[in-house]
Amino acid sequence: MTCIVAVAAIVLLGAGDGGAGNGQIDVAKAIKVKAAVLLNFCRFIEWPEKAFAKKDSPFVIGVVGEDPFGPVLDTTMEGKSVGAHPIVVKRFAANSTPAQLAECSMLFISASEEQGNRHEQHCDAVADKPVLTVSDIPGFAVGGGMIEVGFVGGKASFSVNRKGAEGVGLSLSSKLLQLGNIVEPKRKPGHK
Amino acid sequence: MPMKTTQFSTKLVLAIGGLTAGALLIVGGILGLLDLRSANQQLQQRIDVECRLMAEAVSAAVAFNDSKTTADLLRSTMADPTVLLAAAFDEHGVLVADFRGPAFTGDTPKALGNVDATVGSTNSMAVNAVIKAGGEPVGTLVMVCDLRPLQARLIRQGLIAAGTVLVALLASMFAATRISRLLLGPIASLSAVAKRVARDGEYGIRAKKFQDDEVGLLTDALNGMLDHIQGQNDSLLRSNDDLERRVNERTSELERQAAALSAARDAAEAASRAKSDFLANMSHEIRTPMTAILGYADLLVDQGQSEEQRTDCIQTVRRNGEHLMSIINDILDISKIEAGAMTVECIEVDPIALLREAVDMMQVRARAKGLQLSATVSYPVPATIKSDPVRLRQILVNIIGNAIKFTEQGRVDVTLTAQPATSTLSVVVADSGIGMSGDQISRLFRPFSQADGTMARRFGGTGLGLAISQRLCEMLGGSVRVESQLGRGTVFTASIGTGTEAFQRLVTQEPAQSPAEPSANGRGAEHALNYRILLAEDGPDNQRLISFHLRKAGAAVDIAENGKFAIENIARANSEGNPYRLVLMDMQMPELDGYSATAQLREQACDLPIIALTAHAMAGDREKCLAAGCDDYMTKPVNRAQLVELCHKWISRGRSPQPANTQSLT
Repeated sequence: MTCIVAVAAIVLLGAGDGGAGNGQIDVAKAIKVKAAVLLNFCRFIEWPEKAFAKKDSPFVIGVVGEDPFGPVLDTTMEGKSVGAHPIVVKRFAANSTPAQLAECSMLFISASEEQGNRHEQHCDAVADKPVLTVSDIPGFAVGGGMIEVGFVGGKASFSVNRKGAEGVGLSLSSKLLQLGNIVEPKRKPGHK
Repeated sequence: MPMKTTQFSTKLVLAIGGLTAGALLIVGGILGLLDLRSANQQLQQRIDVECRLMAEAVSAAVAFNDSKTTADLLRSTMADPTVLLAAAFDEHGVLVADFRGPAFTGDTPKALGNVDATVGSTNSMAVNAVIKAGGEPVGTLVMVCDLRPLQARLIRQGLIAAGTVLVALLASMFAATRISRLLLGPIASLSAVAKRVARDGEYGIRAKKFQDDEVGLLTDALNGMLDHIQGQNDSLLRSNDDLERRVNERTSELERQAAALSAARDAAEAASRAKSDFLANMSHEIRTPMTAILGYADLLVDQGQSEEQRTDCIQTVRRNGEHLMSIINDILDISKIEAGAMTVECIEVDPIALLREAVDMMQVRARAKGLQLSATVSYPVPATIKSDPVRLRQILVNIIGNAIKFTEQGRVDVTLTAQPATSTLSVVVADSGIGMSGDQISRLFRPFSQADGTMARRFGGTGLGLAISQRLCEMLGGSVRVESQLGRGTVFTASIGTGTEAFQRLVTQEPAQSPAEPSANGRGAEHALNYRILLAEDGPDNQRLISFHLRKAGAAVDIAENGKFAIENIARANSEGNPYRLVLMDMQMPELDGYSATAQLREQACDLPIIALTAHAMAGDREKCLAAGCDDYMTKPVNRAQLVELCHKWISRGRSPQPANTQSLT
């Protein structure tokens, strides 16, 4: 129950900017903010070195399902890197195999995957691997995902399943934890 | 304290104080600046660190553009009161969140570019830090801190430094005053001593020595110098006194000498006056008998005179001639005495006989004035004494004659006494005459001076008699004393030395009266001069007179007019074989005088006796004549008996190798 209250609080945080005036502009801005949030996650989360084959192996950000970002994500990540690892954006089809998805260090699960609970499948696919799962599907963090990103009033907000992320060897910065809403997962991915 | 020292000590104090203050100011300034700089740096470093820490802290909040969280984080900077403002801007320079301290009055800039314009002031300082996320800048954090506490601290430190400098200055000046007093005190005391010495000339004071340092040495040196100066000053004063005393002595001596010279001058003037008076008197005295002689000679030439009258005239001429002679003899005597040429004999003399002879001689004159003249011998007296009978007789005649001259009536008593103790014999002549005052007595024995200038006119005489007698007495070992009172008569006492053997044979009583001896003058006439004699004489009167005397005595006389003829005559007589036996040589002659003629004769080995005739009866004449070669000496006018006696003596004796020591005075 507390989780729900927390999510509601995050939603209210951005309510100041006032509902949906110009829907087209809001969508574009939300995409931009979400892309930036993804980059910020790369900055405040540490991946274990064993996650990479080599020291200069690419840091793959995978988008599975329908891509909401378009070129915005590529533009945002262009030239960026995490440590010595250059960021590469890859897109995966909804039916991609777990082995394909395991290539990623961060996996954004599109809202399109909510249908048929595919997003849970995707989470399960990379459950034992150091892959940060992010989605804007509501209830994602509680439902076994790691970070649930929201966009309210022009500002981003997120909830963090700390246990889930730390369970695969990811290290979340306290500063990030300060900003996000930490939730207790009700489902553990890959449990089956 | 003296002015110069004050100035010097003030200088010292000011110098030390100034140096101290200067040093303190420099050090304090440097330290203050260093401290300020250090405080500034510290503040800046602190703020820098705070800013960087805060940038780190807010990195995620800024990256996620979370204003609320950012603001919460920034609020923690409240812990530092110097931070006025903390503001976080995103990567586009847009303000994300800010925190404003209560002291911040301005507006928070909305954009990073406006920060400097908003907060730039002297009282504040802005610090920037880049907010990084994953190694990339995501924004900028700006912190503005308050500089006023720093400035307040600077002012406080400055005040403390100023107070410290002031205290140090006062302390150093106090110390300097003490030091200057310590150092300059002895010098000031020295200076005071030197000043006193210079001003008051007190060489006795000494400077006090305070310490054994350089000033102490200076004190010792000054004291040593003062010792030296005092010593010199004392000796100078002493020599001054000595000099003054000597000057006084010399002055008084000079005064004495001046007085003596003055007295001598007065005496000389008096003597000169007396001589002038004397000459005047002599002139008178000589003229008086001369007038009589010439006058009576004129009467004799007059044929109308009876034999009795002629005899009277001749006697008058003779008496005046003798008087004139006595005057001239007196003059000659005093002249000899004054020239120191008078000599006295020392032979056996019978004093009693001499006294009686003199008194007998004067008896005629005493009777002529109606005076009683008596002679008394106070026995015992020596039978004979060693003395000069001629001079002794002269003294007696003088004194007795003097007594008779100045006594109008009454008597003259002559007494002979002997004093064995002093080996002297005294003749006391007491008269009942007019007497003399003390003043007259004092001038009595001075030559050329009678008791009174008027005396000479009243009593006649040269006034030389007593002076001559006095000198003669002294030469005979005695003196003449006189005691007198005006109107009470006079007592003259003439004393003479007797010789040491005189008192061995004394006469104790009056011997029987012996018959009078025949006069010596009488004997000469009995000699016959039957010889050839040359008379060298230019005066016709003397030629006639002398040749008359000699021819009357039996001599054959030739006359030569001068020295030249005398030499010729002698040579002719020798060649004729009938030589002269004696030459009488006048000394003053024309053509060739007696001195030269005699000298030439002696050169020609002539050994005739030559007797000099001269009117120069002055002292030294006799010696001059004898030196020229003469054998004897005779003064004009010529006494007939003496002339014959002398001629006889030399003819009978012949010329002796040594000149005779005979007195030629009458």
